[in-house]
Amino acid sequence: MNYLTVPLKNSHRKSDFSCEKQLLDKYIREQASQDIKRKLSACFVIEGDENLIKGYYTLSGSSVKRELIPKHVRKKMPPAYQDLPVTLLGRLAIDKTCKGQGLGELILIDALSRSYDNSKVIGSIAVVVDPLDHDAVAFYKKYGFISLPDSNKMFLAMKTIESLLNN
Amino acid sequence: MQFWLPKKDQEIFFKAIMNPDEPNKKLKAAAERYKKTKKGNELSNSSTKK
Repeated sequence: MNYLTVPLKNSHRKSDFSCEKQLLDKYIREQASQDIKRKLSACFVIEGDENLIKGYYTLSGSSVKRELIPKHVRKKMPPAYQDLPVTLLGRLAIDKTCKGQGLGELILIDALSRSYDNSKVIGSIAVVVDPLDHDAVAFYKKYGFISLPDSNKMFLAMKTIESLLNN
Repeated sequence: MQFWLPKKDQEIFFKAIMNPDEPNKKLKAAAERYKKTKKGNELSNSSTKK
Protein backbone atom coordinates (compact mmCIF):
# COMPACT_ATOMS: atom_id res chain seq x y z
CA MET A 1 0.00 0.00 0.00
CA ASN A 2 1.42 3.36 -0.91
CA TYR A 3 -0.20 6.75 -1.04
CA LEU A 4 0.35 10.28 -2.29
CA THR A 5 0.18 11.57 1.27
CA VAL A 6 2.36 11.17 4.36
CA PRO A 7 1.44 11.55 8.04
CA LEU A 8 1.68 15.14 9.33
CA LYS A 9 5.07 15.78 10.98
CA ASN A 10 6.41 18.56 13.21
CA SER A 11 8.72 19.63 10.38
CA HIS A 12 5.78 20.45 8.07
CA ARG A 13 5.20 24.20 7.73
CA LYS A 14 1.68 24.26 9.14
CA SER A 15 1.60 28.01 9.70
CA ASP A 16 2.13 28.65 5.97
CA PHE A 17 -0.96 26.65 4.97
CA SER A 18 -3.96 28.61 3.79
CA CYS A 19 -7.04 27.36 1.98
CA GLU A 20 -8.92 30.60 2.71
CA LYS A 21 -11.36 28.81 5.02
CA GLN A 22 -10.58 30.01 8.51
CA LEU A 23 -11.75 26.85 10.32
CA LEU A 24 -9.60 24.56 8.19
CA ASP A 25 -6.54 26.84 8.37
CA LYS A 26 -6.84 27.18 12.12
CA TYR A 27 -7.24 23.42 12.49
CA ILE A 28 -4.00 22.45 10.72
CA ARG A 29 -2.05 25.30 12.34
CA GLU A 30 -3.23 24.90 15.93
CA GLN A 31 -5.16 21.70 16.50
CA ALA A 32 -4.09 18.85 14.21
CA SER A 33 -0.86 17.94 16.05
CA GLN A 34 -2.63 17.88 19.40
CA ASP A 35 -5.39 15.64 18.03
CA ILE A 36 -2.75 13.26 16.67
CA LYS A 37 -0.96 13.15 20.05
CA ARG A 38 -4.27 12.40 21.77
CA LYS A 39 -5.05 9.71 19.15
CA LEU A 40 -8.30 11.46 18.29
CA SER A 41 -7.55 11.57 14.59
CA ALA A 42 -4.85 10.94 12.02
CA CYS A 43 -3.78 13.68 9.63
CA PHE A 44 -2.19 13.12 6.23
CA VAL A 45 -0.63 15.73 3.95
CA ILE A 46 0.53 16.13 0.38
CA GLU A 47 4.04 17.52 0.79
CA GLY A 48 5.39 20.32 -1.34
CA ASP A 49 8.96 21.60 -1.57
CA GLU A 50 10.67 22.67 1.64
CA ASN A 51 8.07 21.00 3.88
CA LEU A 52 5.18 23.10 2.62
CA ILE A 53 1.75 21.48 2.86
CA LYS A 54 -0.20 21.38 -0.41
CA GLY A 55 -3.25 19.73 1.12
CA TYR A 56 -4.39 17.69 4.09
CA TYR A 57 -7.14 15.48 5.42
CA THR A 58 -8.02 13.82 8.71
CA LEU A 59 -9.47 10.39 9.45
CA SER A 60 -10.95 8.93 12.60
CA GLY A 61 -13.16 6.07 13.63
CA SER A 62 -16.80 6.67 14.39
CA SER A 63 -20.05 4.71 14.61
CA VAL A 64 -23.77 4.77 13.97
CA LYS A 65 -25.92 3.52 16.81
CA ARG A 66 -27.82 0.29 16.17
CA GLU A 67 -31.15 1.62 17.40
CA LEU A 68 -31.04 4.14 14.59
CA ILE A 69 -31.11 1.37 12.03
CA PRO A 70 -34.55 0.85 10.49
CA LYS A 71 -36.13 -2.46 11.66
CA HIS A 72 -36.20 -4.09 8.23
CA VAL A 73 -32.45 -3.45 7.84
CA ARG A 74 -31.63 -4.41 11.43
CA LYS A 75 -33.04 -7.90 10.79
CA LYS A 76 -30.29 -8.49 8.23
CA MET A 77 -27.49 -7.40 10.57
CA PRO A 78 -25.97 -9.80 13.15
CA PRO A 79 -27.29 -8.89 16.64
CA ALA A 80 -23.76 -8.86 18.13
CA TYR A 81 -23.07 -5.50 16.50
CA GLN A 82 -24.42 -2.84 18.83
CA ASP A 83 -22.99 0.03 16.82
CA LEU A 84 -22.01 0.04 13.19
CA PRO A 85 -18.48 1.26 12.47
CA VAL A 86 -17.84 4.05 9.97
CA THR A 87 -14.79 6.16 9.06
CA LEU A 88 -15.02 9.91 9.50
CA LEU A 89 -13.22 11.97 6.88
CA GLY A 90 -13.26 14.95 9.18
CA ARG A 91 -11.47 17.65 7.19
CA LEU A 92 -10.07 17.96 3.71
CA ALA A 93 -8.38 21.10 2.36
CA ILE A 94 -6.07 22.25 -0.42
CA ASP A 95 -3.70 25.20 -0.13
CA LYS A 96 -4.83 28.24 -2.14
CA THR A 97 -1.59 28.21 -4.18
CA CYS A 98 -2.45 24.71 -5.47
CA LYS A 99 -6.08 25.33 -6.45
CA GLY A 100 -7.09 24.49 -10.01
CA GLN A 101 -4.61 21.61 -10.29
CA GLY A 102 -7.10 18.89 -9.44
CA LEU A 103 -5.39 18.13 -6.14
CA GLY A 104 -8.75 18.02 -4.36
CA GLU A 105 -9.84 14.87 -6.18
CA LEU A 106 -6.42 13.25 -5.76
CA ILE A 107 -6.40 13.81 -2.02
CA LEU A 108 -10.00 12.56 -1.83
CA ILE A 109 -9.05 9.28 -3.55
CA ASP A 110 -6.05 9.04 -1.21
CA ALA A 111 -8.39 9.38 1.78
CA LEU A 112 -10.78 6.78 0.37
CA SER A 113 -7.87 4.41 -0.34
CA ARG A 114 -6.58 4.68 3.22
CA SER A 115 -10.10 4.26 4.60
CA TYR A 116 -10.66 1.16 2.48
CA ASP A 117 -7.28 -0.35 3.42
CA ASN A 118 -8.03 0.32 7.09
CA SER A 119 -11.46 -1.33 6.74
CA LYS A 120 -9.68 -4.58 5.89
CA VAL A 121 -8.05 -4.45 9.33
CA ILE A 122 -10.79 -2.77 11.39
CA GLY A 123 -14.31 -2.94 9.94
CA SER A 124 -16.04 0.15 8.56
CA ILE A 125 -19.20 0.25 6.46
CA ALA A 126 -18.93 3.80 5.07
CA VAL A 127 -16.87 6.96 4.82
CA VAL A 128 -18.82 9.85 6.32
CA VAL A 129 -18.11 13.57 5.81
CA ASP A 130 -19.53 16.65 7.46
CA PRO A 131 -19.24 19.32 4.75
CA LEU A 132 -18.31 22.78 5.99
CA ASP A 133 -20.24 24.78 3.38
CA HIS A 134 -22.01 24.69 -0.01
CA ASP A 135 -18.69 24.40 -1.89
CA ALA A 136 -17.81 21.28 0.09
CA VAL A 137 -21.29 19.79 -0.49
CA ALA A 138 -20.93 20.39 -4.24
CA PHE A 139 -17.45 18.83 -4.21
CA TYR A 140 -18.52 15.62 -2.49
CA LYS A 141 -21.75 15.40 -4.50
CA LYS A 142 -19.74 15.47 -7.74
CA TYR A 143 -17.98 12.26 -6.65
CA GLY A 144 -21.18 10.44 -5.72
CA PHE A 145 -21.38 11.04 -1.97
CA ILE A 146 -24.96 10.61 -0.79
CA SER A 147 -26.55 13.49 1.14
CA LEU A 148 -28.25 13.02 4.48
CA PRO A 149 -30.30 16.21 4.29
CA ASP A 150 -31.55 16.33 7.88
CA SER A 151 -28.11 15.99 9.46
CA ASN A 152 -26.10 17.74 6.71
CA LYS A 153 -23.74 14.78 6.55
CA MET A 154 -22.76 12.92 3.40
CA PHE A 155 -21.34 9.44 2.90
CA LEU A 156 -20.06 6.82 0.50
CA ALA A 157 -20.61 3.11 1.23
CA MET A 158 -17.36 1.17 1.73
CA LYS A 159 -18.67 -1.36 -0.82
CA THR A 160 -18.78 1.45 -3.41
CA ILE A 161 -15.17 2.35 -2.53
CA GLU A 162 -14.18 -1.31 -2.74
CA SER A 163 -15.68 -1.54 -6.20
CA LEU A 164 -13.83 1.65 -7.22
CA LEU A 165 -10.42 0.52 -6.04
CA ASN A 166 -10.61 -3.11 -7.09
CA ASN A 167 -11.65 -2.55 -10.71
CA MET B 1 -17.60 9.40 18.56
CA GLN B 2 -21.11 8.36 17.56
CA PHE B 3 -23.52 9.67 14.98
CA TRP B 4 -27.07 10.48 15.65
CA LEU B 5 -29.06 10.54 12.41
CA PRO B 6 -32.58 11.93 11.96
CA LYS B 7 -35.18 9.34 10.85
CA LYS B 8 -35.20 10.34 7.18
CA ASP B 9 -31.38 10.15 7.07
CA GLN B 10 -31.39 6.72 8.71
CA GLU B 11 -33.52 5.36 5.84
CA ILE B 12 -31.25 6.89 3.18
CA PHE B 13 -28.09 5.71 4.93
CA PHE B 14 -29.07 2.10 5.46
CA LYS B 15 -30.74 1.73 2.08
CA ALA B 16 -27.44 2.77 0.45
CA ILE B 17 -25.39 0.51 2.72
CA MET B 18 -27.55 -2.51 1.88
CA ASN B 19 -27.67 -1.70 -1.85
CA PRO B 20 -24.45 0.22 -2.56
CA ASP B 21 -24.19 2.25 -5.76
CA GLU B 22 -21.46 1.69 -8.29
CA PRO B 23 -18.89 4.52 -8.22
CA ASN B 24 -19.88 7.35 -10.57
CA LYS B 25 -17.89 8.44 -13.65
CA LYS B 26 -16.19 11.36 -11.91
CA LEU B 27 -15.01 9.18 -9.05
CA LYS B 28 -13.71 6.53 -11.46
CA ALA B 29 -11.87 9.17 -13.49
CA ALA B 30 -10.34 10.61 -10.30
CA ALA B 31 -9.20 7.13 -9.22
CA GLU B 32 -7.56 6.58 -12.62
CA ARG B 33 -5.77 9.92 -12.35
CA TYR B 34 -4.68 9.03 -8.83
CA LYS B 35 -3.15 5.75 -10.02
CA LYS B 36 -1.26 7.52 -12.83
CA THR B 37 -0.03 10.28 -10.52
CA LYS B 38 1.14 7.75 -7.97
CA LYS B 39 2.97 5.76 -10.66
CA GLY B 40 4.63 8.97 -11.89
CA ASN B 41 5.74 9.76 -8.33
CA GLU B 42 7.17 6.26 -7.88
CA LEU B 43 9.14 6.55 -11.11
CA SER B 44 10.57 9.95 -10.23
CA ASN B 45 11.42 8.74 -6.70
CA SER B 46 13.21 5.63 -7.97
CA SER B 47 15.22 7.65 -10.53
CA THR B 48 16.19 10.11 -7.77
CA LYS B 49 17.39 7.23 -5.58
CA LYS B 50 19.65 5.93 -8.37
